[in-house]
Amino acid sequence: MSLDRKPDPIRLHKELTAIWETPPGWARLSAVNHTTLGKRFIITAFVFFAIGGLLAMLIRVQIATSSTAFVSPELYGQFFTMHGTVMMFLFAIPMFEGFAMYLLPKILGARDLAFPRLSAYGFWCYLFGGSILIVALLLGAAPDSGWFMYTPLSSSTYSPGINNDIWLLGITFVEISALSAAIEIIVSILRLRAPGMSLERMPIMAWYLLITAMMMLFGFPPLILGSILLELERAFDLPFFDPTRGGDSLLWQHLFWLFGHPEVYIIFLPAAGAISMMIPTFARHELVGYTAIVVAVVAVAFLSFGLWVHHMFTVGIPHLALAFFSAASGLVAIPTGVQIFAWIATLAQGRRPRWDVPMLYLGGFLFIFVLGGLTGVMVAMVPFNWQAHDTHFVVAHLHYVLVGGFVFPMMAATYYWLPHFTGRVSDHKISIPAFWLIFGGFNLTFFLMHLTGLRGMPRRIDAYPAEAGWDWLNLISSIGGFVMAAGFALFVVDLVLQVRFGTAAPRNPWGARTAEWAMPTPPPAYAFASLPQVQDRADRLDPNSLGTDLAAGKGYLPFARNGWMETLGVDMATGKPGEVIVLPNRTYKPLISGVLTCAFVLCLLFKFYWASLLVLALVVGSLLGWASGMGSRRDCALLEAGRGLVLPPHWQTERPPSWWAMVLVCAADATLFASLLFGGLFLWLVAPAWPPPLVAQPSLTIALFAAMMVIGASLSGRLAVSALRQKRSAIVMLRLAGVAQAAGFATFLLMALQVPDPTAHAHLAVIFVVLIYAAIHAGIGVILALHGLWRWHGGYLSALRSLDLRIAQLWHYYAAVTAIISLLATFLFAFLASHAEGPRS
Amino acid sequence: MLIGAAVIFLAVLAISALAILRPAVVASFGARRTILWGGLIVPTVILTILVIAAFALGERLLATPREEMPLRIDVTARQWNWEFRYPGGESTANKVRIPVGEDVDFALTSEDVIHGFWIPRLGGKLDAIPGHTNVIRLRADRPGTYGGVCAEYCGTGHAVMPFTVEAVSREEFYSVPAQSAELRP
Amino acid sequence: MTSQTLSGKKIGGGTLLLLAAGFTIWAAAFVALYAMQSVGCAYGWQELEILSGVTLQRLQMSAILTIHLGAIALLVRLLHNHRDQFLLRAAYWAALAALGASIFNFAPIFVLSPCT
Repeated sequence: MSLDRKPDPIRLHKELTAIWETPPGWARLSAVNHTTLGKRFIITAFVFFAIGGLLAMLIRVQIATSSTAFVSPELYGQFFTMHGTVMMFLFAIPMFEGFAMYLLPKILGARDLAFPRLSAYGFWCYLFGGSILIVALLLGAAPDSGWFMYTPLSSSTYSPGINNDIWLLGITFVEISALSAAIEIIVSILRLRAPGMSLERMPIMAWYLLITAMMMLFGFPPLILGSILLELERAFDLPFFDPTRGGDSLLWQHLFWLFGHPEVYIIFLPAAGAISMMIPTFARHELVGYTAIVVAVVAVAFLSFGLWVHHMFTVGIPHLALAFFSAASGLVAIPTGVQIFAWIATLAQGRRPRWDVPMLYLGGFLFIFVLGGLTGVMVAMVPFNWQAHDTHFVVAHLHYVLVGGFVFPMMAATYYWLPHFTGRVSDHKISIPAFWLIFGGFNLTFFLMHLTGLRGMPRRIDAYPAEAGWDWLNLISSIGGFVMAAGFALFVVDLVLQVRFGTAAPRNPWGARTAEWAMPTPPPAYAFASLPQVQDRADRLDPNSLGTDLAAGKGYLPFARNGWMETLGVDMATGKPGEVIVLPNRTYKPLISGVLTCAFVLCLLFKFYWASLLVLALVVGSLLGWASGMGSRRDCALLEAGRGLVLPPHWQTERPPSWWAMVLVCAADATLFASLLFGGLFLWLVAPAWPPPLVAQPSLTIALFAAMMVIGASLSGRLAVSALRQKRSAIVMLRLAGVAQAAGFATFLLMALQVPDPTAHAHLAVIFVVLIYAAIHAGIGVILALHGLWRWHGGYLSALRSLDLRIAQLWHYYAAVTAIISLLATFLFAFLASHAEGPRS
Repeated sequence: MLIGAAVIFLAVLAISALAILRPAVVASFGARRTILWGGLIVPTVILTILVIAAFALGERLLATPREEMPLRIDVTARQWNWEFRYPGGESTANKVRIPVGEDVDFALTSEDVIHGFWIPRLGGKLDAIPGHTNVIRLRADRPGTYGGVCAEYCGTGHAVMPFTVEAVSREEFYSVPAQSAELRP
Repeated sequence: MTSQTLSGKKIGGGTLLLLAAGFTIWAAAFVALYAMQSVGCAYGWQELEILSGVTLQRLQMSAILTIHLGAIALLVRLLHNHRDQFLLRAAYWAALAALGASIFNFAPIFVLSPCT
């Protein structure tokens, strides 16, 4: 290897391709590349969209008139439940993940995302989890309690079959994928950018995706917790939601919508980010109000967590509490308005905007989304909501928001970036009739549905009497639905034609000014042959000259070294390069872990609980196996990074991406834990059938011992790091940490088993779960301590290479803090339960 | 509210069309001012008015405690029917009689899953939730028969859970002792 | 937090958190008010009159709101003089937005029925 020879674009391309490319054939299954996986996510999500659309057609046939019902209410329940579930969990979120995965490194000037194997694992989790749901649908055993799965209807008393277990386990499985994507997106945006790209120089879409991913990090854990608790109730009779035993169905609603409303903005914001990328290109003027948009997106992100109860205005919550949520729901329109007017102002700044297919679709977006936003403000008003809630008015509203706010921008984005995906431009103008069919069909279907709802038609009824007078409205809606479906079929035809027969696109066909166009199209697996230095805001680039320079190796890392997949890590705020990040090469490990995780889920589904423990051990083992071969057995000299820059490899730096990933894992985990404690307090305060017949009486002695163990473990973890840094052996401290965590694990398990009959009352069930939570975290601490020992013996640790231990140390700290809070919560809940006469007197 | 929404909708579309067809007109207003007025000031004013109006209306609809409490009918929902119990002890299934021209409190609960109590022509809806009792105050101003439905999905019988409300004159209603515990004037 | 560390060279990743600071206080106020509203109703504080016409329920909620509004106002003041740098400028505007949002959002505690 010689780094000083003159760069030759052709040779550079060949060498980098050899390292980065996914070979054809079965080896495709080993792909970890963001371009490949991004496309897989997008295509898979589109297939699920088609399935969801098909279900929508069946729904529209069933209720087209008062006499067209063709399936039983049981099957109809499966149809509308699966339509919502598929569209939200298997289409919208993964579609945005796919776009983010494909585009992010390219707009940030990096070669890949921070954790390529996590992308692959996320894809397999998504594919397998989604497939479980679809197979269930084909076998007639799909979930059927509505996509928000209200208890007690979804509990085992009223839905005894396997149907709802499939929802709870399958969707939680898919959410693993969403959470891992969120962590990957955050870390990649914060750390894997082109040198010189400070935060304020990031292309606006990076801000959108960063904030969206943060929302996912805090929005998904409440639902994951809710799903776990409901599955525990269904499988082991722990009564969290059973009103006869101190549970409350409202707890489920809170947990579900605490996720469910942010979810809407999690779907909308990435689409808005794409709009903010397209508008400047067509306006031929840079985005106006960059700072205002960043602030607006932050505001939306927060406000969207303060309006979940507007889905619960009719459950009997006091008016003042409703007012908080009503006001916040209205407020969220303001930052959305700021964004829309920033786009309008951008369009106005240039000369006459260029009019092309993506702009047509964006026009459709504006029309539909603004209408949806306005009906949204209406249903945010409490008195109107009492009238419109659970009727077809709400169905119309939510489709205006989601189709307008996500599907139309995504179709615009598809046409905008398709030349990038395929290297071809469309010669066929099928996209235009397709647009009018979809747009016209959509409004025909859903505009009249507002009226259907105002005339009193509730949601989710499988039949209605002719006297109700809803026949003509529903018939027109159904016809509109089929027109729209024809439009989507045409859209697919157009895409296929373009992919197969489009003429070759020039570089940067729209005249965009962002980095993703500074590469050949379709993009090579390594994205950039060398990485750019960014001097200005990253939407003021000249992709044509930049692309030529980068291909010629005039940027950073213009070489292939050791067969490594290299990209640069930068300082979070300033974008100053700090390390060479060596990414893992393609591997089957994510697939193996994905298959094993799927096996674990299936074991739970079919109630093979003992076997599931064995499979879980295999899953953990396979995930630990990811570490083997990572890092280095000897201290590395500084590495050349091109353009005279010399940097350390990431495993020798203080806070590389994986360290941040652990911080984010803890943040998501803490959200889940906080939701659990909130649930415990909520049940004490609000649920019927309190006080409990039996109150838990935790032993103070045992609790103190447990606390000492977890504190001891985190101290040992800390000392192991200092020992390593002072070039001493870390073995003793690692063993100590392992033993202390094992003792903590055993003690918490013992305390949990000492809780008298957790099935008797929610009070006991909550304490049981809180203690099990602490036990699991101590258990993971054991695994991490053992992992540290294994790495030590493998020779991967040294004073310079202490990353593994520092990551473990973060976990030991986190586990200790949550374990102590668990103990305090246990005593608090026990105290409150014995004094619960107070609030209910 | 509908008219207001239509006006806002058309205004946004018009400004967007203007920005595309005659960019100079919008540009002359200034980018910062466009965002400030369009995105912040105008919506804030409209929302403030709307929210205050909605809160005031919401307050009037609440079943707040008062000196002389209205007639109270206990409603128990179950898969898939409604049971109404009058103060006088009588109970009926899937149909209820109420006096015209006076407020009636329906105290809702459920024996199994969540149901939604809704009489579209009389007003808003409220959920019947197992373990909780929610009170909705309704009033029929004219005699007649009003249809009610279950609004919250409650299983396969969700669509076949209608009930009827018959609003009768007060004299007629209070002449049946099984309905009203004591005779009202 | 002195002006030295704010406006000087030390614009680290931590500054990113300032962007969320204002709305984090908004969120804290939201959680506190919603929780204490439920607790107050459960214990019947809406019927305990402390001053003439002012119930314990309104009093405690007003106190919670005042504390949080004060905290955001303080944040706005702190950030006011440091708007030369992008992140701090954005944080300032976000804090100001959070202040407005908090007033709009929580004003109903003074007028609406707390427990029905």
